Amino acid sequence: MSKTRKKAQSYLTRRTAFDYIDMVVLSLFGVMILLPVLQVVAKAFSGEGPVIAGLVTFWPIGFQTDTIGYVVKKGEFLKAFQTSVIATVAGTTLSMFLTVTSAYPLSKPTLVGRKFILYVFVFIMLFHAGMVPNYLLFRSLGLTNTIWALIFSGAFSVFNMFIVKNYFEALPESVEEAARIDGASNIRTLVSVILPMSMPVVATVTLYYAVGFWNNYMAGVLYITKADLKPLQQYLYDLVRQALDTTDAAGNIKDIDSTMNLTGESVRAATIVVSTVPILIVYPFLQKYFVKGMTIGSVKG
Amino acid sequence: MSKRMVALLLAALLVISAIPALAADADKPTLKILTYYLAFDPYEQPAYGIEEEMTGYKVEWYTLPSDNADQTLMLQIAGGEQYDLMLRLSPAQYSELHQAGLLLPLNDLLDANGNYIKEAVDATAWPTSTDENGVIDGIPQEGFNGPKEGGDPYGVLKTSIAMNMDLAAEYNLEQPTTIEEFYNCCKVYTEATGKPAFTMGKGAWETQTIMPAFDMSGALWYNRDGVFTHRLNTEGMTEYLAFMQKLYAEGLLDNDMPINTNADAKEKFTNGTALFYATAGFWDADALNSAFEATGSVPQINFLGSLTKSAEEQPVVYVSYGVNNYTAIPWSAEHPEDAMIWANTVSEFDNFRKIYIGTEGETYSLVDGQYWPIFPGFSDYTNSDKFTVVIDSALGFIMWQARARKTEAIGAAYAQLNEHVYDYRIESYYESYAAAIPAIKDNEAAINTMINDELLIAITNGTDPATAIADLETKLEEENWTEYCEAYQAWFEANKFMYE
Amino acid sequence: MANTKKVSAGRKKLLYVRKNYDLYLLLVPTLVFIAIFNLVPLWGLQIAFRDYKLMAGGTPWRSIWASKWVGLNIISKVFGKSEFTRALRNTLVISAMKIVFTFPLPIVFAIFLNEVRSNGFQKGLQLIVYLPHFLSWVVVSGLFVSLLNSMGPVNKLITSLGGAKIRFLMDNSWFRTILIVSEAWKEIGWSSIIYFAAIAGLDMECYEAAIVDGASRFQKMWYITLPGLLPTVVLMLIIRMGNIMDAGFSQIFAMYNPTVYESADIIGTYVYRLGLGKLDFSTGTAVGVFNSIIGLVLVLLSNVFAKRATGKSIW
Repeated sequence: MSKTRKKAQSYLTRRTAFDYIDMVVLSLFGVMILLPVLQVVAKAFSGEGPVIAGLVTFWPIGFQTDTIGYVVKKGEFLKAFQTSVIATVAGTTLSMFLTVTSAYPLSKPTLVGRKFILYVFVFIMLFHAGMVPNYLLFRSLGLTNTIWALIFSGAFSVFNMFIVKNYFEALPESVEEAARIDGASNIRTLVSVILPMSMPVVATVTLYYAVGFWNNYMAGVLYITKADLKPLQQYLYDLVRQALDTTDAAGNIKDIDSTMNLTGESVRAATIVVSTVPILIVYPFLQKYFVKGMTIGSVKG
Repeated sequence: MSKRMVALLLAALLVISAIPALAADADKPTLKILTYYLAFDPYEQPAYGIEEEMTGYKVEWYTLPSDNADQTLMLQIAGGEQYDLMLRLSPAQYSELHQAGLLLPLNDLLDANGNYIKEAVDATAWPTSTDENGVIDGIPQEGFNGPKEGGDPYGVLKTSIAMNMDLAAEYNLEQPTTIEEFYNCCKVYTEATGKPAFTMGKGAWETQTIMPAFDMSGALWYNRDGVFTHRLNTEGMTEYLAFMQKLYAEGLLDNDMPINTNADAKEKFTNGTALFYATAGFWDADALNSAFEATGSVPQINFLGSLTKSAEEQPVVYVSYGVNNYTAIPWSAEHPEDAMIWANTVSEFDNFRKIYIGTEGETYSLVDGQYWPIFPGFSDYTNSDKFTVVIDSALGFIMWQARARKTEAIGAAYAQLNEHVYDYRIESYYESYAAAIPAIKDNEAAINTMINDELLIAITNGTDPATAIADLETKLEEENWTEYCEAYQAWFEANKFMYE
Repeated sequence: MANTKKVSAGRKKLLYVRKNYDLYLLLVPTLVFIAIFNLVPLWGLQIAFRDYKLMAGGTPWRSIWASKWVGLNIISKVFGKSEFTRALRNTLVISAMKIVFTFPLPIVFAIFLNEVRSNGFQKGLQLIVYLPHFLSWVVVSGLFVSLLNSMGPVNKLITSLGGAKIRFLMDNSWFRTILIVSEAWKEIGWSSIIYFAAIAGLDMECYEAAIVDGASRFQKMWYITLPGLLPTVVLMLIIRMGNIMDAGFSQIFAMYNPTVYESADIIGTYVYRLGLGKLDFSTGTAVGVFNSIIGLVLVLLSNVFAKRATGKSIW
């Protein structure tokens, strides 16, 4: 190891007062963020009685896992869950493909027609046609009430494409030039050289898409009426919302039979927890690309 | 084998193989049924299997979202999405579809296969889905909130203000029956404890207990000596607002009321903060009990009767009559006749009862004309009410009470609420019949929301009620208030007889 | 050099395309996709200028063309509503406040968390702070109500310190602050991910050289990390400007109540309430077009500004 590098390494591992203050402040911040979330989790593991009485703060009262068990065994939950998993995996794959293939050419300043294409992208990023045209399009393509509706709607985000394009633009030109000299085509360069260097942004955008698909509620509202094809977020959102106000604007009880059979608060909390856990599991796998380690950059001189 | 034998054998084989093909004619198509938002999986309900057995048809269930249901419905049907039957259409949705001409006329289908349906639907309901030429395109279901004219009113009381009797005893308070007594209870409690006596979910209205004292309730329109008056313009409204303002200003009414959800209000009641809680339904009994248990002990909970201005007045309950929902067949249906047969089978009285509450002796019992559930079998029927089509509303009202008695505690609460129902004066109102009229259907939701919002603000900031109402009416003008009111007046002219 | 022949610009372009045909090949899938799923529906944007009736033309699709053209009538009606000015004001003020107060926070958070030496600490904290993003606003609203209501912990603390109860969620002078705080709470963690990724992509050699030169912690942050983040920051800011007309509909819809309409009723919630029960596709589309046009203007303007000020822009 060179002397400079050794010195750098030892310097980097030394801790100063700043480090400690930094960690303390950040920890406090983390606690502030975490506590309210803990309340939802605590409710999911508490008995219904304590939850209704508002006794549950950050720790379960009357700890039981029955509620969670009840939620995951419900048919409608399982079907919605399955639907969302399929839509998320397929959708994210398609999205990453479209995003990376379009970001790369657009990251080249010399591309002919670049400005025009970018204008088009910005335009579609800002202008949305609304319920009617989108529904009619999907209907005429025969996609309504199929899983494809959930995959195609949200399959391309201009915003995410810009993020990737930005990242590509910031990569040093020397690497691409080296590849060009070696006779690689554009596609080859993208796959073998650029992508491996772009793992942070690929991880970020994959995460963004995955979460976007997982959380997509509107697609279900617009395109799916089949009772067993509703995505998880729609199931969850409706479940949480129906419990909010039992009376309507005139003061009358909305549909009394539904009101009588409302899901309990702890069931709702449990459903929230169970619906969120899967996507949380994705994060740690991608996280290693965000955390700057002691790795040395791949570009030499 | 001789050639003849072979020929005979082949012929026999041919005949045998043709038999299944002949039988296949009897195959029933799978019906696609669209209904409103369901909070559960329809395929997992026992009612699903029961109906399939009963009718012989396989059903694919489709549900509208809970948000934007009207738009989704209209887009789908107008765009030709194929459903065979649509259940639980709200009067507004039915009206939209009808005006757009998207519904199949049902006269022939009803004559051919709709005998049970015709029996079940009340005569007063048919006119709402029949046009001037006698073409019927919707099957109305009247709400079963109450008995038919002159029938037994037992069971019409369902919600009220819940009172924590143990807590009341600590301050020597008794269950109030007049508005004055209610105010005094609140005053004593709050002055002694510093906590709000009365907690409520957000909204400007407490329709079952307080408003009746001011001659109002959940109804929007009232017949005052032949003049059809909107809630806003009744004499009681300014008094009601003043009363609520007083409660709020003096801290007797939970000052968090505008941000309380129903769950928040329940919380404050069950953790011992508040003495009174609205809007409590008899179905809350189990939830309240388990919550109280968690905080310590379960107190005696009483439901207040409707309050009155003075002790001599008779308490009053307002019961809404009208069409609750419609069943219809869209123009794009592939199997309309089968849909009608399915709907008809399901609406036959015994079939209805089987789906709705099950089998006598097994899942329900009939005692003195009242239906009582038998557990554990009855819990299978929690959601089965969503699988029915039509039933005579008077019969439905009685049967529904079995479902109301879900558990012992809930049944007891329901009984407590209705204990003195025979002392009540019953006021029936019929404005639901007008719900499908265009000027009303288009504007009512936005108008009601605006009224609720503005009067809620008035309750919290104490502006003079009369001024608040006048300002409100000016704002409402922008939202087609005049057309809305005129439409109701016209409807009243034509339907005065209902209110007599 | 060899080729000094003057080649026409058009010829140059053709040569470029021929040489780099595979770049255009890469673009094809996405262009086809957006042509179908984004451009085709935009033909329906004209609903904003028509009195759209679902059955005017026999089918909803044909009805777009068959509905009566009314031009700017639809959006004018919205402008003419008595509370529209208030809604517009609230939209712009709340959006501006959010940009000023919540835009920098994820950046600061990312930079300071990045400074922590322990990988484990970084990963652990990251995992925690992005959790609130996954809760819907309906749920988060409930959490804040129980926190901030008159009998909740915050008010208990205030009264124990001798102050008077504050009605955070019912007071027009507090509600906007609560909107900003709750949005920050919910989104700081999630929004910082992009900045973490950007930092992770920065070249370590710069840092090493700086260390050798004796640069302090803060000097490194100021001269290497921040400039390295600049392209990302500029991109995020420009796109945020494009969304300025959405001051947070889901949030405000979940958290507001009539007593704070004065300060928090935005265009989205106002139009929603007025449109209840009506099957009015035209108004919704018109408001959407109005918002999009303002967003587009702001994107173009901020892009120009960013280019002048920092040399970075999105195109």
